[in-house]
Amino acid sequence: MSTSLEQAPAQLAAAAEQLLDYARQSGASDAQVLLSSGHGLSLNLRQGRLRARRAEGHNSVSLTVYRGQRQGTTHSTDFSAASLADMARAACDIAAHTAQDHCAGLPDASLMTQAPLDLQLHHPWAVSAEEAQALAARIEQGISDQGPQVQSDGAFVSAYEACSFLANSRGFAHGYAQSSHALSANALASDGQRRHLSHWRSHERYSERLQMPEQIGARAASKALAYLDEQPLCTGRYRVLFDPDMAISLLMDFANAASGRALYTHGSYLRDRLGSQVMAEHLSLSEDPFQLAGLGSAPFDSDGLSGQRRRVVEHGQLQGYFLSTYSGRRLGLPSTGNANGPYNLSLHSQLTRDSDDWPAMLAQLDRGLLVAELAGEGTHLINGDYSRSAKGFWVENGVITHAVTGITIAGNLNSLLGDILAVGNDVVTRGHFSSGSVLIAHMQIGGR
Amino acid sequence: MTDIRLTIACERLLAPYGVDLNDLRNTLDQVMEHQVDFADLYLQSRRRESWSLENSQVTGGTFSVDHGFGLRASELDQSAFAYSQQITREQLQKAALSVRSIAGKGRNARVAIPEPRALMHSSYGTDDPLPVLASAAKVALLERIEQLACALDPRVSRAGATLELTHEVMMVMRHDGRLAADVRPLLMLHMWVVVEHNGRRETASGGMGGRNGFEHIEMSLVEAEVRRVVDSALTNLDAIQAPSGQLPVVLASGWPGMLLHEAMGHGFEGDFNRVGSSVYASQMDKTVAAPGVTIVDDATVPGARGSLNIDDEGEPGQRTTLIENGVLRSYMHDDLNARLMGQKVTGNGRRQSYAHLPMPRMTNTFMQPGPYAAEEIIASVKHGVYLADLGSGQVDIVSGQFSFQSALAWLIEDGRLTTPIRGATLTGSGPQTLRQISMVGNDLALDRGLAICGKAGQSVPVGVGQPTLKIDGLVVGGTA
Repeated sequence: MSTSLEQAPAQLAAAAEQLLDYARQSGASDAQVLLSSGHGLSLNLRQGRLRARRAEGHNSVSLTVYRGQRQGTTHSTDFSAASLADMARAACDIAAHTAQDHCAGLPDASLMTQAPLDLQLHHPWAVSAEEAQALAARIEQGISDQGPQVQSDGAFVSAYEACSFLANSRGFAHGYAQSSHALSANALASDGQRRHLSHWRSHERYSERLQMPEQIGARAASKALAYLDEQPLCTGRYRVLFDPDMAISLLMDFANAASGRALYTHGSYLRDRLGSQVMAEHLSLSEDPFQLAGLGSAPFDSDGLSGQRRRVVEHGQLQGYFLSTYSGRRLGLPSTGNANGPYNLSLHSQLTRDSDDWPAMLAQLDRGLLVAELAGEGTHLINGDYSRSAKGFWVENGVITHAVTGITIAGNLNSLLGDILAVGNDVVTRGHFSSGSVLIAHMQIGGR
Repeated sequence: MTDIRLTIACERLLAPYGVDLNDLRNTLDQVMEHQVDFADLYLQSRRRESWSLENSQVTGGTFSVDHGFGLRASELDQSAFAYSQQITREQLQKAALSVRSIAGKGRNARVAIPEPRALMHSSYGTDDPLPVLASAAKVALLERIEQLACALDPRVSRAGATLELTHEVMMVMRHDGRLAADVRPLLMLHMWVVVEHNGRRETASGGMGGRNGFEHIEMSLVEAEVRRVVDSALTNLDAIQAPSGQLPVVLASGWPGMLLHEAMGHGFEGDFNRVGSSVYASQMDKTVAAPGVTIVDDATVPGARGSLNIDDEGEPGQRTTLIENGVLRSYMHDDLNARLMGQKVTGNGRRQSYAHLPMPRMTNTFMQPGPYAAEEIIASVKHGVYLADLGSGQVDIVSGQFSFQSALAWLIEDGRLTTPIRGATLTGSGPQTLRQISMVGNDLALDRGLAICGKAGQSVPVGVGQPTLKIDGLVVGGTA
């Protein structure tokens, strides 16, 4: 990658200032600008052939103007002066047609982040196309090393860095750079009759922290191979263990239900639930916006406000939501600095012991379903109804006996989180979320 | 140059940036100096306006502009790609130097003078839906929807609506001189309601859309759709727990055709079949579905959301029979996969934008009607589920396992619809499901024009459709 990002902050700051000027000239009483510029490389190899090599390059600029409490928004990819002037005019035209919204408007200047922290989010990876292809080849080697029944259906390498800058008419003007790099593998296992595709991915801000390419290939391959030994499961009510990745999917559903828009549109079962029991009593959910180099870290949100280190859930009780300035005003609550969603979130249980590793969690499951993959948008945030298609493994006496596919699991998110018996210390982090595996008393499984 | 679309594309994509067709040709020339088999240069401009109403007010108005070019070079099955949001000679040249390194040096091919292709047919007009009526009319439409919804029943506690109008202009020039352009309007009106009664909350959504302008919205159709959405949400207030396990399922006509899109459509896309990852690879001319099942992909349906005058590689949109009376007749191809498999292109080369590589994608995919009345099909089921409306769907094309979510459903008991059941996921195996279609209705309908299909991180608008269908067994994921 080139080093053109070095000049980016100054260029973005200059464009931001110009756009705020145009907005004022077009009649805005307040305005906010968010610009970003990024570039990178991504590459997809399949069985030694280069399916695609992409030179990535991205610019975006968004403007929100306020005329009193009417607002208008424009987005563009063009930083030229003429285009910026057009954007300001168009946004002010829109604001002439929208209704007064007493919740609209910039946050109070005193709430905005004064001195943004350096969270060490930017670690450029100067990987060349040739080097990236060599890494992808090593991922594919990791797959084929797992035997003749499995082959690569794609190895992916990506390196990306971007700079963003936020400015508003009340004096906020700060930017920061960040990077995001990933290696991943798709492995296809086949025994002539059954076929299964599995995926494994490593994603970090530092390229040095990425898993070894061979290991990524091997993880995808062994996952895919495990599904070849498959047997049907009868419909019934069973004890269930969500592996750490699937436990994280429950946290994502919960975070969506606790987010501003779902709450103020009356679309979430967590509306009016602050202070009440939303998970089992031994559980807490902590949020940390400032974890160094964390994928879910940011010095401020798109309103210019910082998040907080906090417990979103403590002793199973809901302590707070994920709110922006706007959604906070709609709900009569202060912003939590979450205009861009949750920061790093992790689930903890008071009951977790050092010995609760993966085999110990399988032993606690004893007999039941280990859920390892889920598909479908089957979580109804409005009432918590939960029904998804699943794949996983049947466990007897704490040992995996065979794979199970083509099934559904169903319950209600509120009662599932209340029925969590244990959280393992086999913690996995995916993007913003961390969790160990999660044991649930029982769920309805649809099968043969 | 008589094609109005090409004239509009040159005015919109080239003239403002001081670039002309010769600059595009020179860019492709530079790429072809290497031993590249294929190259194309795609330019696109997309303007989008959206208005949304929530909490009784239109408080959100957004206008977006996005334009740029994407340059691709391929050598056999390998591709390099670069894109930029600045349509300038400098950026074009930079992209050419970047992508041509996919192949070795040593050819001196010149690109022929482009011959514009005459457009054979047109499934939609060139109207720009954005400025047709004043913003005030758009705001008034959304306000009317909310008033209607709230007036229909006191249990409606919230209603909202979003109107999104897009005007896209694209142009593609290929290494062999092919030049084509299209102008694509797209309108989407989405609406949702929340209903509350005795502490229970439910929601439903709907809307309408297609490749046409704001003036095509008919108020009587909007009113009917508001009633349907409110009825769905109210019905769900009385819904009981859905059953779990394998049951016969009857799917209503229209949007439930998403089942076909997921259960088989993706499996018929050329890329998955060329590399052998689809369950339908090497099934050509074999029986893959029950007799009586005929499925087409048709880009020529007038005004439909998935329709295309030309695809994103300049190939005319067409109607392709995928399954004819149960027998697999064609995959859906883009240029690359058709070329490598030695098959005909089918006009299915699509991309989300200039910043994405094209791949084989569906347009409007639907099943042809059969002999049965919907009532007969329902009456044939002793104990099962009737799906009147669906949410979203997904498929794993390697195993063929698909799933989708019900949005409005009833129990069928002794051939009659009895009690509404709560939303649940249904799952099945695509190849098995195609063979388990035991009755096909005579009531073919397309969806309302809201469908978005995602594949490998790229979203494109599509259409789906089907007549009422009976499937002998799907796994229903309820809690009862």
